[in-house]
Amino acid sequence: MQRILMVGKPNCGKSLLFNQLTGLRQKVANYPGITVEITRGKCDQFELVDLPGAYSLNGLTRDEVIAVEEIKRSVADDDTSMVLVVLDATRLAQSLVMGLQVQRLAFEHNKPVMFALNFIDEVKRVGETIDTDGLSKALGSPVMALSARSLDGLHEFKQSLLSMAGEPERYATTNGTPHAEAAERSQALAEDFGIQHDIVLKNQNRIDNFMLNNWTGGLIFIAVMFVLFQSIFTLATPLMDGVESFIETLAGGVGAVTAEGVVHDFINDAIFGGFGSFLVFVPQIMVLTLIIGLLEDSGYLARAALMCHRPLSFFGLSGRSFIPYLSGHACAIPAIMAARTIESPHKRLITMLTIPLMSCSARLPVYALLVAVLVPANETFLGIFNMQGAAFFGLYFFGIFMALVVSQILNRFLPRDLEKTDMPFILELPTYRLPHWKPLFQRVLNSGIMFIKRAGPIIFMVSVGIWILGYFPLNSTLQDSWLGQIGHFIEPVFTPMGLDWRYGVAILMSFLAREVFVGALGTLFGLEGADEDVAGLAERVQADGMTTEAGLGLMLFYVVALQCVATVAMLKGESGSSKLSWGLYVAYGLLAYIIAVAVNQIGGLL
Amino acid sequence: MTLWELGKSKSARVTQIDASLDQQIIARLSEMGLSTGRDVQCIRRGPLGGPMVMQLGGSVFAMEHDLATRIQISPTD
Repeated sequence: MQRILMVGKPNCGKSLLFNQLTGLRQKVANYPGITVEITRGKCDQFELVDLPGAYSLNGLTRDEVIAVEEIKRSVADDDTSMVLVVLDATRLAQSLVMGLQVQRLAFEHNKPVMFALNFIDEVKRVGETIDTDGLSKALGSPVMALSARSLDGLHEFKQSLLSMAGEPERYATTNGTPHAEAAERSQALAEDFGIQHDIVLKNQNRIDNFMLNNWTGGLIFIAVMFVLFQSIFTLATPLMDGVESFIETLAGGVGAVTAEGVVHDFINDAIFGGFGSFLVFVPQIMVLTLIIGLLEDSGYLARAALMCHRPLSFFGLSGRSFIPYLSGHACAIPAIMAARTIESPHKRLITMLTIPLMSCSARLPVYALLVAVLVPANETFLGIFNMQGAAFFGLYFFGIFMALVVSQILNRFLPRDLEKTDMPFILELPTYRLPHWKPLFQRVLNSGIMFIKRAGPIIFMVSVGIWILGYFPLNSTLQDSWLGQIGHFIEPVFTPMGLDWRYGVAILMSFLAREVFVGALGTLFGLEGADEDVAGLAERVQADGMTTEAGLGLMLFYVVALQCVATVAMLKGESGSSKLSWGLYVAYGLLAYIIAVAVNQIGGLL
Repeated sequence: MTLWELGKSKSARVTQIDASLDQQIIARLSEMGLSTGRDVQCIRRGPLGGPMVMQLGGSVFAMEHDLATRIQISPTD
């Protein structure tokens, strides 16, 4: 299939244009979020490939380097018929740098180039126009003005695009501009053909007076974070309940037709229980992806990153670490990938290694159970804050706190490659825009699908495995089952934590995937379908007599321990080091253990 | 004076960029529109030593202290 390559600087509206051209005919991106990966879709009979945004072919950050490598590779490829460069009409000088460089590259491989001048609606809104014919002549390649949002000019553009892609030989390739002159020439072209920037930038600077102001900016930031945090509960919970009851009904239906015995139990508890234990996270991941996506597409996240830069630098991080840290609260895997945008390799590594300390969706059921056991419901803190809510907040905060502490330690002890210069923090502040639902919808959908594809199989298999170990030998009590036998064997390890063999087994199992803790504990307490009945399990645990200090220790254990094999795999892929990733897995486990034991022992003395 | 010292809403022209900076960084600055002879305007200064926001080449950027102190400018207003 013939391929159209789509390139452009970040924030040029490429994602929306890609969506408009491909509709729903996109291959699910591996990890949704800021495009740090290559997305492929179909536009009529052509493959349209969307590459991560880059300011220039001299890639600085990891995501730019990846994009540039792919651009160079694809342009040389025979299957690529043409290159589509997306320009931002409101930022012509900046867009043309990459544009001219790519044009030159395409010329070297005899591929034609078309320029899409996006955001023409914003240009028109301020009463300006752009001489696309003049620009076209000056560039030596067709330039088409359009708005991916308002669809202005989109139809004609698509026709021209397909026409060029279908018969690339018919279109001349200009010899373009030598790389060294690209920056100079793009400024010159922008002066001749671009609009007066002051008109366009005036608005965003005015809004930034609020957003970046010490007081109002700080307040807005806190308010935004509060809404994000709240959404985890208010929006996600009803959806999660929905998923749970759906699974329950389904399980009940199937259970009604199978006879009593092993098969019935297997289907009911292992299969449906297994599915339930990971499907229930999908709504939360999708809600967080939605909110983070809204913040990003509106342009606000750049401002937040800017405000966080100085405080985060103190810990060895970058302002750009803020975004991965934020998405790490949904799932660490796309967050680690998002760290590719961090300008300094050293800071990027530290960020990646500390993302697992952010409380991801998988920890929520564990938190929910333990908070239900230890914190009285309906009681308030200082008369206004709900105690249970405050407990959750405390756990999330502890995760962030630990991440900053570990970052600072890593900053001091991680060997710095002094050969490579640390890149400085330079961040573009894009125009404030209303997010468009299409790319957002695509990303939210992807986040759910990708989680199911990635984490699903592991979690499911672990759940089934636990069930089997707890069920056999047949007709034995839980204590005498294989699970019980393992439990008794490892019990001494968990006694300093104030916990017995049942917790020990559940904790051990959850080192493969933390999601299974609740279900496993339920099985061990003799409760079926514990995932759906957290309150019931909480009661049993309380009745069983878990001490406050042991419970607190256990909660903190779950904040810190890295219990996700999928995350370790991702870390290995992104850092290139197996030793580092597995080392981190062991290190965080030990750290969690030390903290839990300390809390239990000290708490017991008080 | 250095870029870092440019006051809020003040404009200036770039006179010199520290040659000891990595070649890649200088190239990126040039691509952003920051090279000798070009104009830059300070939009706002960062609080407590945080990155300063500036307008150049038709776009708005935030730049951290360490880099901004290595760019020499001469005020134009």
